[in-house]
Amino acid sequence: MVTQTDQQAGRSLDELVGIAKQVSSAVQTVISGKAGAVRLALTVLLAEGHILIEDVPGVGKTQLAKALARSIDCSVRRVQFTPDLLPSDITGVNAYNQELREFEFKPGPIFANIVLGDEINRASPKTQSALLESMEERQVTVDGSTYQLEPPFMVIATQNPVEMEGTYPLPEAQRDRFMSRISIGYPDRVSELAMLDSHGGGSPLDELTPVAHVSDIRALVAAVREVHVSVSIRQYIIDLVNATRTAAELRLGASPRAALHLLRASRAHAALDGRDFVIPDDVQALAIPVLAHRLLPSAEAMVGRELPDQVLSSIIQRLPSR
Amino acid sequence: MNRLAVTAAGAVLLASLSLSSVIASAGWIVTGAGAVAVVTIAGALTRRARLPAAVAATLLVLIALVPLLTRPGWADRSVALVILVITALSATGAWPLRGIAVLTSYLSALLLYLNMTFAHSASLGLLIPTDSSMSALARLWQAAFAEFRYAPPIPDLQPVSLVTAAGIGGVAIAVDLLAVRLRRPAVAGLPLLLLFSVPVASNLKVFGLPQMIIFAVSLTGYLALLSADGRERLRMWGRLVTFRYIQSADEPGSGPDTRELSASGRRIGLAAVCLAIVVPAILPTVRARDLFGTVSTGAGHGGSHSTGVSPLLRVQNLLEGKPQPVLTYTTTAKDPAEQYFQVYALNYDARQNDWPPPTYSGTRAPDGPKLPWAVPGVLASTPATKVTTTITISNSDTGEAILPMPYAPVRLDIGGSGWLELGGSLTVFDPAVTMPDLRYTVQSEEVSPPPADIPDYLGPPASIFTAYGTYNGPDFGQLRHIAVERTRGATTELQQARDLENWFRSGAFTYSLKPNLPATNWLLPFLTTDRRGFCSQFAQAFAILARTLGIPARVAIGYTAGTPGPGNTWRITTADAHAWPEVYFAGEGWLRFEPTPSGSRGQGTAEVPAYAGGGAGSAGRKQGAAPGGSSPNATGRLPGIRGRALTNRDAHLAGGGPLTPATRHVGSKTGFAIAVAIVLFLLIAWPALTRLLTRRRRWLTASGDAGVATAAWRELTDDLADFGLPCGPGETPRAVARRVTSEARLGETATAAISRLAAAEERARYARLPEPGTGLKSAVLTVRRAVAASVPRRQRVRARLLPASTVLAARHLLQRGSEMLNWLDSPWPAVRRRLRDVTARRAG
Repeated sequence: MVTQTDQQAGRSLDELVGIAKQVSSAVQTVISGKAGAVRLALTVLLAEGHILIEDVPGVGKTQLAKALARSIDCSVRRVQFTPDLLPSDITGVNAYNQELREFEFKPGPIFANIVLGDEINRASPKTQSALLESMEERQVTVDGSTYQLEPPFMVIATQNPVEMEGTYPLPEAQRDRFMSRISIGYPDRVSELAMLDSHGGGSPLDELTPVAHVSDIRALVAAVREVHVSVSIRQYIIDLVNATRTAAELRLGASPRAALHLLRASRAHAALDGRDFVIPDDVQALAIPVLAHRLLPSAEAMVGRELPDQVLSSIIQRLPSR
Repeated sequence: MNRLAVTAAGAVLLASLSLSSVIASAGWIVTGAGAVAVVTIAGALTRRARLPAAVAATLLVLIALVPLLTRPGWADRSVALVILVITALSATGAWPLRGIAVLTSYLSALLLYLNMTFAHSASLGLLIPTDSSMSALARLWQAAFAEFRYAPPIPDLQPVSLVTAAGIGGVAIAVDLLAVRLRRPAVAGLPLLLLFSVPVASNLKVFGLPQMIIFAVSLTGYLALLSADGRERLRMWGRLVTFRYIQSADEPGSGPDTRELSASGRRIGLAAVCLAIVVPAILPTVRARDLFGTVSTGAGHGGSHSTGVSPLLRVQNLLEGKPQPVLTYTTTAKDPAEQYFQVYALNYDARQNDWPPPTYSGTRAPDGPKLPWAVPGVLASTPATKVTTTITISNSDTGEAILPMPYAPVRLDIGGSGWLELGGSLTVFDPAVTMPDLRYTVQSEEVSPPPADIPDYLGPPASIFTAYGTYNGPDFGQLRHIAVERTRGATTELQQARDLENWFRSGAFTYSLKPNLPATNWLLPFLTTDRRGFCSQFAQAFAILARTLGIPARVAIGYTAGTPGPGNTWRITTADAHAWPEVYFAGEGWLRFEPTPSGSRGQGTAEVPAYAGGGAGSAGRKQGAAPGGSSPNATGRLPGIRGRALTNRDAHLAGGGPLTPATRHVGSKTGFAIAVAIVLFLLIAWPALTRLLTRRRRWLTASGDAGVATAAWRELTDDLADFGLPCGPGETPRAVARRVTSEARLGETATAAISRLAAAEERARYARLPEPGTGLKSAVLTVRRAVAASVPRRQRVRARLLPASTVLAARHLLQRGSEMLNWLDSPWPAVRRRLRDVTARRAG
């Protein structure tokens, strides 16, 4: 339940920046050298979105999700998606309680603050859609009863783009539900060396202690909502989204939902910088992570190996910032 | 034969159309087209398989080389055999042999065609060239170059046709080689340019709408060639996909998007049109008349004919050069010293403000064996002395084929059959004959009436008056004033002409071959201030003054009588070249006058005719023509009628008839120069001035913190553009600050200042409340100085004199202008859609 107390609403941006820094450095003790990815994850958390981490195995997708969850002191559940996973395995089931002689709802792993869906493309579309529905509506309906999910609620789904056999790749409509897609990438030489040192003995994840409470996060989300977005920035976002729709290199442009996600993410991005207003730089910084995974390149662009990221970059470059 | 070869041939044919403005009739087009066709067929032969191509080439070369092979000498035969063997060996496919064979095939085909067309009568079986047919071709060729001395349009005579066909054929060879064989159609534009440039290179004076249309039509051939090549290249890759149906956003096509390309095309087109208008307008050598055809400034003597064939200029050249013998003659004239030899008669052209060379329009061939013709304006009853003159052209430095003859010739005995007469002017020429060693006999009618017999009451015919009796050039008022002043008291046209002649010969003018006169509008200075000149100036001045009085006058070019030689022969040298005015008297025709001073201080052999006040031969004539006065007999005979005649003409002059031209305002040169200087200064200073004014206006109109922040930021971005660090459209304020800090290596103060400016602009644009605007102006100044210090000196000067920010604004405007041309794309799809709807409705 969302209950905003006076204390939460009164949180200033400086406090937000402080907490965010603490969380960020805590996560970076586990995932070293990936400040950008960590910041983006934090941005999505504060913007009330969900993340799709798409990368090769072993670069720390799960570690990132776990570290983020643990540093916040909130509930975290992990679901390993497999082809035989059922929707009820995610949402929960009504089980008969013989003592009480009634059906009792046994909540599934979705009832957590941070849900880690590992290898989401391995589950059947039916299961995928059950997860995605709860992501969008932030509630679960089982046998006619609706259960609200407690904020903050963020799904961190991972996907392996390499081994695609026997998988069910997410359709465009479902990818659109994720606020942002992150690619973690291989660490640089120094970070990898540090990783070998720190992870050699045991997992630093075990030593990670929460640096923020879940109520802090709620307060921060409320503060982010207060960040000012001027008319010109809104128009800029619309221009950007429209440009993706008319670009010759793209077969499918960004949806109105994408525009909304971009706006929210920009707010969080500005707040993380300690600013109470959004500037075009926020929008530009998030345009690729927020929009790129929703775009489909045209046949010519594919032949020319022009990825949506590049198309977006060129749009940003030539679109006048208002 | 492929499509490209046919298009190349078409391009050459279309390009050759541009010759139509320099050649009078259209017969040459047929021969030219034949040459192109032959070359194209030869080209197709050379592109066949190796063996058939070699066989065809050898056959062609063999026929073409028959004249060489049949010559007695061994040298010619050896050369011919070598060529023949090389061509035959091209069957082996060795590279240089094949190339030589291709070239010889083209040339042989063209030669055979020319031989068949122009010298078939001397050929074997109309086709195979012989020595004599080759000589005939060579003669024609030489004769043609004598033609090209004259101002276009030149008549379409056989020699001209030959050279034209050969030229067009040569260009066709080059185009076929480049465009079809080497697949370089763009380069093929160069030989085509040769054809395009012929009218420009000639001294064609009229270049109007017809020429422009012909040029445009001619150019389509080249464009078609480029397009055909593009299609051919695409065909190599498979089926041709046209872009015709890819258009605007409302009708998405499935093919490549060519909108960007067409937008670029439009921009280039717009820029080209702007340049084509602006560049000629600012070039000092191009006159406004050439652009818009309204203002007539005109070029005077010596100005416009420097490269052409102005007979007046040629006279000066002949006089200045070392004397060369021109001709010798014997004559039956009573007073040979008075007998001038006329070559041309020139008429004044107000549009050029000059006396252009005669054109060949109205050329006619003599009816009988040679002449006679009626002498224009001379009545049958007019007493005339028949004079027979036998002329031998000893040498001619110009080689021109126009016969010097005593005026007015009525019978000519000369060898050859191609003699023509120039539009009733009694000028006789033959383009196919060169001058040296010609010998001919002329019978002429010398009309040298006593002054009393010259009537003026009949008045000239309207055609003569319109052509020769008016003056529409510059300074009409002043010139007429001078003419009236100098002929005050004269009651007849003859008296007026004589008064003018006497004035010129009175000692007020100095004879000089190096007159110091302006190139244009030289006449008034010549008559008023700098009275120095030679026959050319005297003749023109006399004729124009006479015309302002309504007396028909023209300028004749030729030779004076020369000097007596051994026996009764006379000798004319180039030192006797002369220009003199002729005045038309009804019933007497054209009578010459002599305003040029003669003797040692003038043109040595110039003689004043008897009726004009001179004449050493007849005491009676001399008595009746006292200088400055008029003959009592002449004035006393028909005073009433003569008086009326003048009064009538003067009334005509005053009544605004054809003699009264519109008053022209010729602006002073100084004023023009000042105006040009002011315009230039404004053009140069305009960007800097605009920048200054923009800066002032920006700071003055900025209000409130947000306004000041925005003004400061705009000022900064303009400064950055001026210093060569322009901002991209998607660049945000802090991105700009970051980039400039690193690119210009700003110091701490400047970095702080630019960050402050960026932050202020951000807050003004995006935050709820802007930050205070104090100190922003000085921050702008700080950044400007720091950036200025970091750029090269050249860039700093440029930023001050030619700030790019103002140019960017202009460029933006231009871009908007070119985008307005986007509608060019839209109509065609719209029309197609409409048509499709209508068809569908009918079918439905």
